[in-house]
Amino acid sequence: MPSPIKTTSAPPDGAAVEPQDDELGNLAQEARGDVQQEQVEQEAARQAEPGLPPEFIEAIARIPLFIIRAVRANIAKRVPEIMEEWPDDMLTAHAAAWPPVVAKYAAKMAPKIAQYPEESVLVLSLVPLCGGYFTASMRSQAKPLPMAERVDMPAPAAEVAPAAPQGFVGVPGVAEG
Amino acid sequence: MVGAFGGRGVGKTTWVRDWIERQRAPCVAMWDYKRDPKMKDFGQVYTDLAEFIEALRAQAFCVRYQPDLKRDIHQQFKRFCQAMWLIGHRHPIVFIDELPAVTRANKAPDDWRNCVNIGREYEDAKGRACSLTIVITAQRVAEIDKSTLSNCDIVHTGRVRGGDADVLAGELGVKADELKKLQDFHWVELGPGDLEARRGVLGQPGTVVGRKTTETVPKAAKKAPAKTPAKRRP
Repeated sequence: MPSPIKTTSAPPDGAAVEPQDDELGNLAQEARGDVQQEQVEQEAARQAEPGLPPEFIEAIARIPLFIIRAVRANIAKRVPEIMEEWPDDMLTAHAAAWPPVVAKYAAKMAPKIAQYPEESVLVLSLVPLCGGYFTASMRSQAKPLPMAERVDMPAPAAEVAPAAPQGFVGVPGVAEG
Repeated sequence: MVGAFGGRGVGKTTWVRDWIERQRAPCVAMWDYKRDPKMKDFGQVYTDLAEFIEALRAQAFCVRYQPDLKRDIHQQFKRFCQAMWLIGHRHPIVFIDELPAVTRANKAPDDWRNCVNIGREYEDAKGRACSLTIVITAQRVAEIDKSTLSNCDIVHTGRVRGGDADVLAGELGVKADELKKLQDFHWVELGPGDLEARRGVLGQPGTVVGRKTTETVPKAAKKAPAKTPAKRRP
C-alpha cells in the first residue's frame, strides 16, 4: 500500500526552507568532520601496527605442534590407543589453527619487538632448540628398551634344584641333614 | 511517546508505520538501522548523515537515515539525536527502529536521554515551543533503558517471551502468559487514558476488544483540577 506520507527531499535553494538555520548547518559540518576524524584514526591505527615477518609467525606456530606431539607421546604410555585417536593429520590441523591467532596478537607485540630487537632474535633462536628437544623426547620414548631394562617380560626363571628325598628343597647356606 | 515491542514477524513495524501515517504529521524522521524491506518506500532515504541533516531544513519532510554500519554507529546516533533536538519546533515524529541497537539497558546516550526525558515539551534557544513525538520499536524490552520504557504513553506489543513478557505484562496490567501466547499480528496495547489494555489484530479494523478509553488526553497534558476558592459570605 503506497504511503500517504509525501516524500520531500531537500528542496531547491530558497524554496520552503527556513531562511537561516545555522545550527543545522553546523551540525551537518560536524557530521562531516566525524567521518574525516574516523578515517584519520583508522589510518593512524593501521600505521601503528606494523606487520610481523611471516617467518617469525610460522616459527612461533611450530611450538604448539611440538608440544601436542609430546603430550600425545606421554599419554600413549598409559593409553596406547591415543596414537590411533590422535593421528598426525589431526595434530597438524590443530597446529594450523595457531598461526592466525599468533598473527592477531603478535601485532600488539610488534612495538615491543621493535624496541628489543636483539632479545627478540634470541627468543626466536630458541624455537628450533625447543622443537629439537620435543622431537628427541618423542623418539626416545618410541625406541624399544634393551632386554635387560624391559619390565614387560618376566625375568628368566632360575634353575631349581631337584627335591631332596625328604621333600625339602635344599636351602643354600644351610647344611643338609 | 510510543513503544512497539515483540519478536520478529509479529507485526510491530507494520503497526508503527500505520500509526505514523494516521497522524499525518508534516515532519517525520526515521533512524533506519534494520533496513526493513517493509519501510522501503517510506520517505526519502539518506545514507550520508550530513545530507540527511541538511534535508531537515525543509518545512515538511519525511526522511529516513540508514546509518553506515562500517562506522561508529553510536556517534551517528548521537548526531541524529542532536538534529532531532534542533528541529523540535517543527514537532516532528521521530521513529527509531530497533532501539537496542544504539542503547543499552543500563546506559543511554546523553543526547537520546534528552530527547526522551525532555523532548516531550521544551523550549529551544530561540524561545520556540518544541516537542518530539518519539516512536520506538524493540524486540527485547530488556535491552532498552528503563527511562525510555517508563516514558512511553502508548505501549503496544505483539508476542514476547521470557522476562520481556513479565515486564510488559506489568506495564499493560495483563498476565505474562497472555503475551507469550499471542498469535502473529495479534497485539495488546495500553494507550493514554486507557483504564485497561486493549487487544486487537493487525489489519482487521473493528476487532479491538477491551474497555474503551474514557478520555484520550495524553498523560503529559493532564493537569490537576483547579481548586475552587471558598465563597465568602457577604
